[in-house]
Amino acid sequence: MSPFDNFVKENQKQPLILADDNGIITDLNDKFCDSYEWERDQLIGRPITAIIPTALHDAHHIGLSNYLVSGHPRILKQPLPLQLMTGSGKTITAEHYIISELSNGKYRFAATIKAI
Amino acid sequence: MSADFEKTIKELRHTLGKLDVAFGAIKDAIVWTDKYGLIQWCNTTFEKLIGTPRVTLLNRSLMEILPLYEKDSPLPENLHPCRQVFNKQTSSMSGIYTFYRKNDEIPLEIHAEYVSSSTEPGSAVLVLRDISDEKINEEIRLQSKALTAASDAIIITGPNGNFQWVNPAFFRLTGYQLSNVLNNDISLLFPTNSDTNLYQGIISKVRTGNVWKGEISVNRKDATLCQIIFNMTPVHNRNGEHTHCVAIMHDITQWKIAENKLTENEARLQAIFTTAVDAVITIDMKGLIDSLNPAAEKMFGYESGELHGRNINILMPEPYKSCHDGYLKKYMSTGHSKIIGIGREIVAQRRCGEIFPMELSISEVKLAKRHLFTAIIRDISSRKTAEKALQQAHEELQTKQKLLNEDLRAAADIQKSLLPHSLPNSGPIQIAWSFDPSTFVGGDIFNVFMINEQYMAAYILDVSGHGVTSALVAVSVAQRLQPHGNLLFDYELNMPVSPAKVLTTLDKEFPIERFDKFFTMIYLVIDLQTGHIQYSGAGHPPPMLINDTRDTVDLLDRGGSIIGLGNIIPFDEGEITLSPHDILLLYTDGVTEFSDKADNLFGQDKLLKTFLQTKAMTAEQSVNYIYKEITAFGKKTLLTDDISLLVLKYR
Repeated sequence: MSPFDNFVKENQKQPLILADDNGIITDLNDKFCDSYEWERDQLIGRPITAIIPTALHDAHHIGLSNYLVSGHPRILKQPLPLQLMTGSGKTITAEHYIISELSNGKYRFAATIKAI
Repeated sequence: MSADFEKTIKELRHTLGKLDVAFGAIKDAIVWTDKYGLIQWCNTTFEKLIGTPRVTLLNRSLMEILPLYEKDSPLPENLHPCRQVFNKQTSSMSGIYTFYRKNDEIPLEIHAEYVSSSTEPGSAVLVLRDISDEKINEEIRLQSKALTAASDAIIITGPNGNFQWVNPAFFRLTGYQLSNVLNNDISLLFPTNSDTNLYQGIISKVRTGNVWKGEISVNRKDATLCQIIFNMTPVHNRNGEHTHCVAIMHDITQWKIAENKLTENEARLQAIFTTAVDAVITIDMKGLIDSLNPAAEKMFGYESGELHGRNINILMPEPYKSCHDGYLKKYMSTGHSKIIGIGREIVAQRRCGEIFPMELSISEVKLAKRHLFTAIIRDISSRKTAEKALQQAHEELQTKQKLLNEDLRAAADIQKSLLPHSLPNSGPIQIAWSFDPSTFVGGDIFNVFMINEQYMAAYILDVSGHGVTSALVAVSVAQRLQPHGNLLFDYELNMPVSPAKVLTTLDKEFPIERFDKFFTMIYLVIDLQTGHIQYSGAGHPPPMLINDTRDTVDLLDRGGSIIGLGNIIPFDEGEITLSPHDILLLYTDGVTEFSDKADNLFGQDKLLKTFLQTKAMTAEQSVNYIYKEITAFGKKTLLTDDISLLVLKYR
């Protein structure tokens, strides 16, 4: 099992969300839905910016693009207090812990988002 | 998602990624915000500028994170560049602002632009450039120019004082160019005979991080010395290492010369001030004593320092004491004074209450912010007492002089009484005279008298000097020449004593030692029946005789020396016989030696000519004419000797 998969497995009890290298949400667990008032169907296949406040969209796009180009992580593997948009439209700050894995030439991302 | 769309997304992400890398590498800080001023993105340089990780900056107010100052005043939020471009929307703007990061003052050149698209809301994009280095460089350039242009000599040395740079003023002061001193340390400047530890002392002090400052003499290149204030300061780098020294040399040579002169003058003035006999007091505009010399304290009876700060009116009696403050105030407001610059006599009061006269002289000294008045006071008590005593003595002298004059007038009256006031004019001889003493009494005397019915005698004498003593001698001689004594008539022979014999007798009786006086004289005896004259002179001006028929003047010049020598030289005797209308003039040297204001003498020649003009006149007319001519010649000059004229005219 890759470290990425191991991370996903070990953090099933935490609000967990996964995305591909286009920034599209590929999966999320119930804990995430319960914690942040989202329905699974509302998010699967949508850009990750759906849960990011509009003001942070540019930073997200540029940060992700930089990582994809340079491979140098700036925010991975460290707990970060970042803002999050809930399903009810509220903006809250939660502790994000993001990891990535390059597999078959493509990056995939997983993040635990704990309420502070 | 179509394959093309996905490809486009990937290309855009690639482009964005490269731009992010590029923006992360540049020195300018870049940040953009939404319309609320919330940070949407920033580059690494902006992160460093703020000093906070990017993730914590996102979605926070740029105005809070980057508060700006303009000209030392906080910039209001509505004037913040990100607000301004939103307010104007289409405009871009630039400006210089200051941002304070903790204690660091960071000057920023900010360019802001409003960016929008049809689908996305607008953003304010700010590019910020830290211009600290430019500012520092500009300051360094400015300071460098200042160092170069400074009038003081400036040296930059290494830590051991070895020359590294000097400014042009250093050359002007010392004559050394940088190339002359580059391989030397500053000890080059110190005279060889100066304190050898001076250089070590300076270097030791600056090495410990302290500034060395002092007045020293330094060598010029031409071996002359100049006085300077030397100030050497250590310079440390960021690591605290002592890397350089900066020395400033302020030339005080001329100032020192001036200071020495000033000190000398001050010492001289102080010596004068301290040792002056006169009191010297300086007061301020309120009349308070600012300074005074020991003579002033002694004059007024106060202890040293006791009068400092006291009102000057303490030294004055009433009514001046009460009025002085008013006088001073009036002068300060009007500039009119009755005493400043004018010496005057006034009274002052000593501590014991004694009022004394003083001579006061006040001068005003106008300083930048205040006026001082200097009074020089001379105690004239002694002088006043002396003046009073002198006045009394003068008055006493006048009284005595008056008494003396009265005595002199009385003596003159006595002397005049001895002159021939009842002349024997009834015979063949016509007689007239004139006597004008130089003072009330003179040393001249003369007489004409009958010895018996046949013989007439005449004499004229001039005692040396004039005044009372001379007059008394003259009177004494005149007494001796009284007609009835045996001096002039030999009763055994029943003949007049010859003139030479008479003079010989007088010469014995009136030696110089007797009265400390001598005299000259003419004595003659006339036989009235024949007109025969016997005469003898004793150092006296010879009588003049005008012979009417020959129209000539003879001088009766036989005789001898002055009376008083004690017969050292015998007297000779002359004889002459008068013809009718002959006229004889006897006179004293006061006539010929009478001078006008230009010191021209009347003289024997002029007397002779004048006398000749009276040939046809009576004796009285002749005397009056000659006297008139003499006084006209003198033009009212005062007589310095008696003037005596005696004229005898044979009928």
